[in-house]
Amino acid sequence: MAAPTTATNPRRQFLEQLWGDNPIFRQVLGICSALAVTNLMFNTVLMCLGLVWTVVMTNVTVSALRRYIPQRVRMVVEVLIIASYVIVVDIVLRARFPLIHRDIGPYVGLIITNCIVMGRAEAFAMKNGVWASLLDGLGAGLGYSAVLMTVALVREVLGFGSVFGMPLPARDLWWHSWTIMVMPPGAFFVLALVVWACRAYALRREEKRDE
Amino acid sequence: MKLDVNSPGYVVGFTVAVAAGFTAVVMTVQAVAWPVIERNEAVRVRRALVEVFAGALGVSDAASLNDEEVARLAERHVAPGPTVRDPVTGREFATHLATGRAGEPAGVAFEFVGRGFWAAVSGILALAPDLERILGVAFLSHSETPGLGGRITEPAFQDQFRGLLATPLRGGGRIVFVAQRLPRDERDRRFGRSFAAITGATQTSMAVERLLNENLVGFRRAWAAARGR
Repeated sequence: MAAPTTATNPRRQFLEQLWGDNPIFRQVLGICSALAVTNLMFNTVLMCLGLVWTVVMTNVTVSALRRYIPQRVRMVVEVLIIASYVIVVDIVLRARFPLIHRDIGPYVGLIITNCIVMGRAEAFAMKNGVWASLLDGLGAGLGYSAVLMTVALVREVLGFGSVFGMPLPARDLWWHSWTIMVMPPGAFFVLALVVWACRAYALRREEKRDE
Repeated sequence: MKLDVNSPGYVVGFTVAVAAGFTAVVMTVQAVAWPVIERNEAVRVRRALVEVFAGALGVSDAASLNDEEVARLAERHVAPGPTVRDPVTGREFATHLATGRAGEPAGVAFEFVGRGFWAAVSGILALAPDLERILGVAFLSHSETPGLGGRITEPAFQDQFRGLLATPLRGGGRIVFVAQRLPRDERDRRFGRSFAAITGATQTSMAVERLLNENLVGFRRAWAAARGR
């Protein structure tokens, strides 16, 4: 049967996911994890790697099977695929990085419920080829990661006075702990500011292009 | 013959096939990784035992020991003890007994589990041979928030418990206390029994106080019952 496809430039799709259609500040997807683990940059990097792996592999798999997936059970199949890849991430963490798994293990499972993964599978991978879906997933994952790392940088510097666990220079002389930045409300504030800044910049760029 | 992807038979068959296929993949990965996971768990427990008994074994910096050194120390100085049962709650405690360089008793540790803020917290708590003082605490697993309650596994938090009194207070009540500021007055009943809460993780800190007290009380009853007292 004819495979559903939309005319897409894979490279442009990748770049769109990084900025123009960024899952966080444009689509407002995956916010829950953006708030939960971004108080430390190291934990954020690990979560981002896990999400990039999951969204890329899910997109590739769903795209490869799109001709055969019945419409009425497509979401069930997509969740099954997503859950399988996340469980693999969890097993690999337990086997290769047990200390890290001890700290962020409960949050790895939350990748299954991350809207970005299901969103890209449903909106793109079901309608496009494998290569385009791979780049779309990679762009979405990296776009998500860029915003999360920005939030994590602000929160860890203000909340812990460190970057990737390394104390800031002469921290004892000038730094005061912003405990609110370590707690979830701090994530709301920083994320809101990042979303506002990115959208304001994007809007200004569009206005200049139109002039 | 054209495949009808909307026919009921195909829908059911496809779903079952995909479920079976991906389950097989996950099970294969699990089977391959399981020996490594079990080994990691054994190493983790051994390291936790060496850390909680570090003072009694004369180890100044247990965290700097590599896995071979930890295994050697654990093999020489720590042995599985009896499983004791709390006569009141029925809870069982697996124990580990430490011996010093001359073979003298250096302490007893028990495995504990309790309710944290989000989910169960488990670990190992070591007491002096006379059960008067805490030698060390190590948290093995938890589901607390990373960067907040998750900091209970950091050495700075766990080291607070070394040397705390573990004897019941006259009149009963809590044995260890969580505090925003550690008491400095020796007349304060919490003096020598308190640990500082984690800033921003009050609920986790309070949960740790609760579960340690529950387990200390239960273990003391179980140990006394096992010894026939």
